[in-house]
Amino acid sequence: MVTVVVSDGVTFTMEQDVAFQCGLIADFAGGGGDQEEPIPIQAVNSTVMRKVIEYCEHHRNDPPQPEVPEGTPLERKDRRGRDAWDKQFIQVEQELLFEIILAANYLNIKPLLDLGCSQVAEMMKGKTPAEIQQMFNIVNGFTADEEAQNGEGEEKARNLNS
Amino acid sequence: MSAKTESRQTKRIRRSAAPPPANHAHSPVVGTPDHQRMFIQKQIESHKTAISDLLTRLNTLSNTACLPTELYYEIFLYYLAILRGTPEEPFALLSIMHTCSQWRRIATGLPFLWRRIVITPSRDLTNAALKYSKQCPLIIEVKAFKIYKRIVASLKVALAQMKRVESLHLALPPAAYESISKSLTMPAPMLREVHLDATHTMLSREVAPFSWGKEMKNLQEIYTALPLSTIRSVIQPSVRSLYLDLVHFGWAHPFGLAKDILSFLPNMRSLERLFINTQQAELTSTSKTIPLPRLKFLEVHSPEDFVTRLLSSLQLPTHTLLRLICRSHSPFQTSRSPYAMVFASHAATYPLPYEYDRLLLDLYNASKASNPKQPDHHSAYWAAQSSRPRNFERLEISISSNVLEPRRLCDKLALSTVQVLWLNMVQKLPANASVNPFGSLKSVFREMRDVRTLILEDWPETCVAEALSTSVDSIRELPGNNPRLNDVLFPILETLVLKHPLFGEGLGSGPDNFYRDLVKGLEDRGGHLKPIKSLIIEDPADLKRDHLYNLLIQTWGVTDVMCPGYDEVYSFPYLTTWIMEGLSALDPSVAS
Repeated sequence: MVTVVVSDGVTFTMEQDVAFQCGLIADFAGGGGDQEEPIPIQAVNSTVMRKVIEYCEHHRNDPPQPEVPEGTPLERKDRRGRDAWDKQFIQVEQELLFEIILAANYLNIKPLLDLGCSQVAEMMKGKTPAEIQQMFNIVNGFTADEEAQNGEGEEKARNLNS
Repeated sequence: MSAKTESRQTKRIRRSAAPPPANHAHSPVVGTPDHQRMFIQKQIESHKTAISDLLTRLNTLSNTACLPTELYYEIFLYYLAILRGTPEEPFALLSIMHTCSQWRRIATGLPFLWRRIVITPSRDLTNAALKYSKQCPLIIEVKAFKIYKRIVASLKVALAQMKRVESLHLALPPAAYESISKSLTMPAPMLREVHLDATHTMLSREVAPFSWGKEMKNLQEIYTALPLSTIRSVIQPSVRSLYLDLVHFGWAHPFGLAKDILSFLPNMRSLERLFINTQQAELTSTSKTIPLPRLKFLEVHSPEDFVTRLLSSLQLPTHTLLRLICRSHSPFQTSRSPYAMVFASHAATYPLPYEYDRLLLDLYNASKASNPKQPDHHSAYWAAQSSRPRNFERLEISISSNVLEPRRLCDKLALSTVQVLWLNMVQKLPANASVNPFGSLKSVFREMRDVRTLILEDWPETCVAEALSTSVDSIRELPGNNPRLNDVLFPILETLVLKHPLFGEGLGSGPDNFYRDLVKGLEDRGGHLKPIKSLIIEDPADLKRDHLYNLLIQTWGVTDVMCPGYDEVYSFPYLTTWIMEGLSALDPSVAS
């Protein structure tokens, strides 16, 4: 068993095969047997950690991800599928979604990181820049030069294509 | 004017002449108009800076603000992947750039995002991609159905960077290739893949030979649906995959002659994958066989005699996987029908779609049948062949009532490694048919002891029974090593696919008996041989609920039964009821 303590002081105990899906915890534990001391995970709070553990428990029996050659990340993204459970799992509030992404990045859980990033990309799909701004509460903050470049870029290109 | 009043006026003048406070927007301005303009301009700039700072602070409250750049990169890559192949793809990065200043800086600072260029009529877009991709290797894709000048111009801009093009996927009308062929002569040391497709049928020799650049030492994959002359100069020892797709839009264009195909191969010692799709039947025997020592996979779609001759011309490693799909069927009921003769007369005059080639083959067969003394020009060839290529993974054969050609092909192959066998019955048997094509090929099928998937398309029901060996009466009495086991066809069959099985007078005893026998056959086999796990009946005619129920309930070894095209199957309400009734009978607590 492996025990971790997160930023708000909550302690989680999980089985080794669940915990070791987090590269960070596996590194901490050194790949050895049971860990007696709780591992501090200061960058993740208990709400997010619960979601992370839920994900790791569901995928504990997954075969290891095949190695993919470097230099083809776009193709890698193309190939990666999401099963129905994953789709359901990642339907969360926007704030929690970004926290999961950051946690997956910090804990080094590549499949969860991919799932979170692909969910953000799915949310952007089919939206105009203005709609994306609205969705993520972003203001564009363009300089005058950037504004000018934007003005002549996209609209012209789209018009040519139509 | 009183002194007090004068004093106020003086103060006002003095105040207006003094430099305004830096952050006071409405300070009165004096001096020359140029000074005033400069002053106001400065004020505007300071406000803009302040607003920009505030906006930046506002963006720090966004959920996305906490992401480091590398995660933006991941998200943007997914966004590009999701939009891949859609009309929005070329504009995906523009959308990102137009979202906010930060995203723009991140996107333009990641060259790898820009390396895939889908050509649009906008040269600006192409130029932007070339600029921001910096020195990254490029993937260039274009698909156009007409010759748009702007697209060609935009493509030329991209092809000016041939020195860093890694992958080139062109799908253009044949005539459009002429305008870009010059760009292809430039050195392309990074080029690994070339895909040349046509988005229009080629009715004449519209595409002239290409002179590719000489420096292409990394080229590994070539796909062409264009005349073979377009790739002749690029064929070289480094190529590992060669795809010759010479049947396009149903037309077999007349530029991919078999002898041309063979002429490439001696220079391709590194070839690992070879795909040939052709309707060309002619292939003269070569005196020397061509060694392809590294070939791992060979897929050929062509008439049987081409396949057989090609195999005889190649010297393949024993571990090569072969996928052979043989076509020789006619779209006509009989080759002597008036329609067939009309099409045949056209065949002599115009380029023909591949169906016509099949027709000609049928006509040849028919004329041979009507004149038995006509010499069989293949006989010497067959007699000369002794070796039998092996290691087939998949064999697809179209069979008519004339099984001569398929038999000849099979006789020349070692069939023990075939795992997927697809038999397509292309000519409807007459109701009083005396010939049973399946039975005629039984000796061939007996060699295929390793078939795991059998697909029977348009076969009469009687052949299904033969395929399952239900006619082997003593199948239930066969001990494990009984020599009569050899009478059983496909002993380790796992998946049986019946694509629209035929019932009717002269073709069997009808659906009721057929499905009953099928259940019995599956059960008999399951008890003594490896059970069939999957049964797929596509577009089943006359399939009733009871048949399906029996298939699902009585064939215990069969874990999957799928019937695409049979609407009622999808709901299963009656099955649920039956299963619940059965379970309740066993254990009353189940029902609750």
